[in-house]
Amino acid sequence: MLEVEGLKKTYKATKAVDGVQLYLNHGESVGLLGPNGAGKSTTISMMSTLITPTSGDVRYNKKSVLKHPDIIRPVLGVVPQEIALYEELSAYENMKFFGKIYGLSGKKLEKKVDEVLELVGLSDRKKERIKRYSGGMKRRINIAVALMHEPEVLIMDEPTVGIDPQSRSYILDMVRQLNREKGMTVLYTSHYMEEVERLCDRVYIMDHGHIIASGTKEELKNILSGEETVFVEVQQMAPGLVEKLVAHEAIQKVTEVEKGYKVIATKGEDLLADIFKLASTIDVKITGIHVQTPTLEDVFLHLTGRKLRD
Amino acid sequence: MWNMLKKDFLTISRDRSEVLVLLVMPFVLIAILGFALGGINQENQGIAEIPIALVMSQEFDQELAAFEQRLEQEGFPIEMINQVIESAEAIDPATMLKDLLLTPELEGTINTEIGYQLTEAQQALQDDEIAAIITIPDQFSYQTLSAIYLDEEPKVSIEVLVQDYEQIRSDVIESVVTNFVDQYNFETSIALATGGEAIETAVNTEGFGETTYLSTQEPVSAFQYYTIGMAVMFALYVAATVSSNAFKEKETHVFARLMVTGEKPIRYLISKAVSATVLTALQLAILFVLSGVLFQTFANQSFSFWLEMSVITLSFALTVGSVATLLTAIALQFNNDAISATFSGGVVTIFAFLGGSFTPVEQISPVIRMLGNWTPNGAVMTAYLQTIQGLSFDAVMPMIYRVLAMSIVFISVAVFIFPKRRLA
Ligand SMILES: Nc1ncnc2c1ncn2[C@@H]1O[C@H](COP(=O)(O)OP(=O)(O)OP(=O)(O)O)[C@@H](O)[C@H]1O
Ligand SMILES: [Mg+2]
Repeated sequence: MLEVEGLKKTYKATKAVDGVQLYLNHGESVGLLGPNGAGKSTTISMMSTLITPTSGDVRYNKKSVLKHPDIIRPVLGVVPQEIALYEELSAYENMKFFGKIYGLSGKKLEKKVDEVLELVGLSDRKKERIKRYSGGMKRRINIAVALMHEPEVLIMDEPTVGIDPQSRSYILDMVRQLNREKGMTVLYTSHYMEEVERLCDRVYIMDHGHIIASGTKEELKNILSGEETVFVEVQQMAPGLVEKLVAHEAIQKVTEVEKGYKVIATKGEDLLADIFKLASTIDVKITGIHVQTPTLEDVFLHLTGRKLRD
Repeated sequence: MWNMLKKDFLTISRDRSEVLVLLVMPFVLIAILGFALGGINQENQGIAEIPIALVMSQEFDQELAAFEQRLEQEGFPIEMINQVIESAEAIDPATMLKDLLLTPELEGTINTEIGYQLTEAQQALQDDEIAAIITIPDQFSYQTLSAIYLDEEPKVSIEVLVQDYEQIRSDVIESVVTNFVDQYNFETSIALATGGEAIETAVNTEGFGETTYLSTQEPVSAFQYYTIGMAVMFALYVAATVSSNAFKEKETHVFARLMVTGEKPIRYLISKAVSATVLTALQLAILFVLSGVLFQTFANQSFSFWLEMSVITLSFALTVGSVATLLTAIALQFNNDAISATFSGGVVTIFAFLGGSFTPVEQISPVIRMLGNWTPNGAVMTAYLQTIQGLSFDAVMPMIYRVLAMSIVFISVAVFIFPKRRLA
């Protein structure tokens, strides 16, 4: 339904987006994962006709959105990464304003405002100015405004940055509900792996302007099928251990985590024993060791050698 | 569009500092300046009395005698000649102009000196003792009478020589004379139902401004002066307010959001013009009404006075709207709100000074007045003051055309530089 082809955007020296290829099928929930500066927002801006690509095209139902921006605008709901609301106006006024911009009016508008307020769970505080809202509430209204015209496709750019776990969980449930019950097509951008794992059927992983991997969650994790992730908990952090571990032929990557190290290694019989042995040679006390099935985070780490977030 | 306006109005009116700048400050200043300067200038507010010289290069008795002789030569019956000569005194234009200029109603506006010889008057004009010379040439009465009764082309005309570095003075003088001529033509053509045609006493208007008409009124009071001065000055701030509000929309990403909805940039830009226009009109109306109610600034004014004031106000509001559009276009295009700050921090003050918001600048220098009349606020200030002084609307129109022309220029430039479709 929505296809992105060879999309590029260059700002002077920076290639913000460098040949992105992706598609959304009707009713799908797709994740777009990537670290800061990967080019996610820029991709979304081009998809929503806000900025002009340097090259490439976006097609909606086979028609070029570049040439006909008006075909996609009414079906698209965009939740920007930033809070894009009138701070001086109340939630109710903001929603009414944007509702009217989308051509709603009268009873239908009022009904829609109530309905969406209900959905984001802020009916009782609708008269308050956005200024006085908490971060989480602002985020919810930021989403609410994009839902006023019942968009067919909802594009969300990190809709949960910097908010409390409850609001976050609320939003995730809400998006899932929109996708499952209303059949809304969702493109969900985040650098939180858990969110994407929870919400999305398919995932694109983006870095440095490129899509570096794509597929269903299972497909992506299969990239790591030959590998396992081991958490090594130690009493005291020991850089010496890292050196030893990295030197081990089965181990590909070692990263520092809380209270220990995360080790990605090729599956093998005696890995755990080897780790204990290595530790004991330099007198490092291991307090725990856990083997984990890979997450998308691990996939990302594997692909880029970096963590999604610092 | 209404939706956009309502949003602008709400966001601006909920900002307390904006309300303070746009309404409270000018009002306080009107009160302060009005009271402070009202006392000092009691007799002589606004423009000073204009000294002029009326030079009579003819003797009416001689003219009349010559005319009588002429009628005799033409062979008119004696009773008729007597009748004509008798009524001639009543319709002699030179006498009537003299009477008009000396009428008590003009006191405070024009001070007419008679008895100057032409050369003395010219010297006085050069020495700035007088502002204008009105000359009734030799044979003027004779020729006018011949024109009326004998249907001859008059060969001489009243000459008005104005030292025209003060626009308003030349307007006043010219208006007195032209008005007189019109009135004279009208009255004589009615009086002489004998088929006599109106005289064609041309006023030599060369060397000074447009024709204006004067019905003498109170001079401008300090309250009137500063109500207008502060109102036109603070109206300019509306433009900066609207443009920084627009920039805030861009900064807080609501502008991007609007563009994603498919809202056309040009419509957005127009909404800014309309917002600023409506806000300015409201602001000016509130200031005028408040000043009128609390200080009796515009007591006993006619309906047509208010109509004219409204036309000027709307024209100015439109101009402020266009300035707002231009500032918005610049701020959004260059992604920098320095323009609004520069405008409200410096340009407004300079314009307000040039336009005469702080003090009647024509008293400092006619050049400043001339410059001031090329600022939107200065031009409408002149228009407002002319209206308050009772100049006819025709006299006010040039300034209105001027600000409307400015508006068109500003809007065109704004549309030209504003991004047409996308942000980048
Ligand atoms: N207007 C711009 N001018 C210059 N460079 C830009 C512009 N917009 C984005 N970039 C650059 O393009 C790259 C991609 O930015 P983008 O905002 O798309 O990343 P992102 O994946 O959304 O990151 P984040 O997770 O931090 O939101 C960054 O290096 C950024 O600095
Ligand atoms: Mg981003």
